[in-house]
Amino acid sequence: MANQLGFLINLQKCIGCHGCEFACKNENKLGEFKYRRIIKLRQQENVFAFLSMACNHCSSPQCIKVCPHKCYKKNRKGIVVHDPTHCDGCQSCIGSCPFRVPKINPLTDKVNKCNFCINRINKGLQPACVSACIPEALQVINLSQPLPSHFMETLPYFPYLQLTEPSVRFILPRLTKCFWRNIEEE
Amino acid sequence: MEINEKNMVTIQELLAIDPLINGKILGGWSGRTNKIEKIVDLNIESCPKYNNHFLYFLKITPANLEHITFILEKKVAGLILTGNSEPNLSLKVLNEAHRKRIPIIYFPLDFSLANIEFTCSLIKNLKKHDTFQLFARNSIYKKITKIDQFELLGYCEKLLKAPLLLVNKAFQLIDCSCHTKFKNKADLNIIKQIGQQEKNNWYRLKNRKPNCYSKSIVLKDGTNIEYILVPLIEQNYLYGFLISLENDIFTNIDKLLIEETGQVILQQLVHRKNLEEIEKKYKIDFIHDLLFNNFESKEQLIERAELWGFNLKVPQHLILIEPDIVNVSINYSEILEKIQLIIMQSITFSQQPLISEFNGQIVVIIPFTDNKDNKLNKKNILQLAHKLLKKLEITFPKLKLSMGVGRFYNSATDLCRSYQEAKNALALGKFIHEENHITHFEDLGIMRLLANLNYEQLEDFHQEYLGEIIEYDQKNETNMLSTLYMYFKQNGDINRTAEKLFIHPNSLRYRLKKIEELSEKNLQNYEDNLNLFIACKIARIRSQGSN
Repeated sequence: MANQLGFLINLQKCIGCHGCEFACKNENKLGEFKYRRIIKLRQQENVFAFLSMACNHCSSPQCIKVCPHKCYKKNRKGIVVHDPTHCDGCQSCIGSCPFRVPKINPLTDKVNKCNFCINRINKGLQPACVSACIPEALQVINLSQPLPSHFMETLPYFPYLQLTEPSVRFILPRLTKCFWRNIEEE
Repeated sequence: MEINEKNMVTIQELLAIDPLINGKILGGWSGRTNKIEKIVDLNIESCPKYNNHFLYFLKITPANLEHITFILEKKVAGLILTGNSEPNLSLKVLNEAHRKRIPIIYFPLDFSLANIEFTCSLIKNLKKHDTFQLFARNSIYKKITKIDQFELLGYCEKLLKAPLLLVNKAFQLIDCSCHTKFKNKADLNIIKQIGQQEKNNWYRLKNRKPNCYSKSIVLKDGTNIEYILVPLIEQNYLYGFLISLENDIFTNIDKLLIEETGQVILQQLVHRKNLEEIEKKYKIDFIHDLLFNNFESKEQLIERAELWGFNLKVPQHLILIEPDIVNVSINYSEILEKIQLIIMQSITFSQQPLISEFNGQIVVIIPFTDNKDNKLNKKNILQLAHKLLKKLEITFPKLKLSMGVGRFYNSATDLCRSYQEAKNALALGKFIHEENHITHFEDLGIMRLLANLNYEQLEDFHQEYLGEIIEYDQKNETNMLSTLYMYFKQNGDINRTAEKLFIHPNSLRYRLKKIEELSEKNLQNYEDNLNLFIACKIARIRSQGSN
């Protein structure tokens, strides 16, 4: 099987510092536009976590399927790369992506998205967001190798049918604890 | 004086040790077990004594060629000839040597009698210390590694006087030492019967060393055949077997020769397999690039495809096949290999299809040049898919197979789209069809839209329309939801639905009325019907997803 790089997001460690967002902006010279975003998770009671999301570099990327100008390609490391040369900003990829990852860059009117810092990867470096993550909540993993069972494939936030097989794994957050009083006793 | 035959050296043993192993056997090898007590130099002794335990050493000159005929008339252990060039012995002499079991061996001039006598005493000493076999094994191995791989089996057959067969682990003939035999059906049947006998020992053999195993088999016609079997195993992977059918009783040296030949062949097989693995890796890289749009230009893609023997200049159709294996004991990669083989045999096109394993699925890319009508193309590809599925079902009756078919595109550069569509069809087809389904992307319908919605949206919709019905089912242990599902599956036909559910049509009418009450929807209203139908689809996704 070919390599499939992806992100491991440890929701127990992420403190929502936005360090990954800024590192990404800085690396790609994006200005106000951003590839990576932090989402606050409060789906259930006693759950308080942050989710750092960018392109999931899916195993079956729908963006490749729909792009009329074939701007998307998936390289042998499993990274989905967007080449904006022929992009006319038709936004079909935005509609097809279940995570709505590709975004229109207002400066160029073309779609752009995270490319896993492919230039850094080719130099043997980690993506900028991973390097910048101080609590080590973001990590690069290879999904073609066996992974521990506690790496979860999905979150309630994700689409029900994961046809695209996103290359991302999660370590789920712990339930929040109240340190100053014992709830059970009450 | 009584001779101790046990300590004597045989001619075969003498020729199993370096440097005498390089001697050329001219004839009479059936007498290879003749034992040597003494070596007599006929070049010095004018009136030698002839004995069946004496080996005779003679320098060849045109004058003494006739002397060979004279020696063969006597009872001798063997004859060693030495000279500048190999003597050209007549057929009559060779036949006589064979009949009388007198080996005639030729050595170049630089071999002296002292060499042979020294080797003889060395063998005696080695035998005393039980190290002769090890010594002989090394010499034999050294010798056969120098022989060309295509001539190796033939060389061994000459020494063994028995055919050597190389078969794969399914006991299919790969190579044979004799080119005339083992080509006809009767001879191949012997291998087949040996294969049936050895099939059960296969797993046991896996953990054994590649030694010689002497076996026998009673064929269906009643004849008993003795054979030697060498399993070719490397790192617990069985590559095949080397089989020798015994004509005569094999000596220990013969068995050593078969074992060492097996070792050399095993190295060749391992090398071949490694090359195949590398080739497979490059092929998978090419398929990855083709299916994920990872190429610079169409021209470059076509050029690369030509290297693999595929013509991407013509439009292609893509089918994706996935076996649903629940039983983990089945070797998945072996099943995929077999499926590929069956597909290859089933598809008869003027141009070669591309069939390969890719990410645990089988990708079949078929060139289509006949017509350009999309409807007809779809019909043709579905017909072909059904034909393939039928063949695969016959071969693997217990295996569940699903097929996804992508849309037809005129350019090979669009295969990346067709591949993603086939993947979607494969994944979503299980929510539409039963087992062993063939789904075309264009037939997915509403599932294409539902697949893109997130968990909460689907849950909300499902709960809104079917929540009351599910609650009622749980409280009263009824099956209103499955009734509704069957009603939609039978296209709203009351009689057929009742028949399928084994209930009276009036009972069904009562249930449907109850469903209408619970959901507060009217089943005669087209819009309500559609919403309930979609909610039922979501229920199916939920149930399959939880499985």
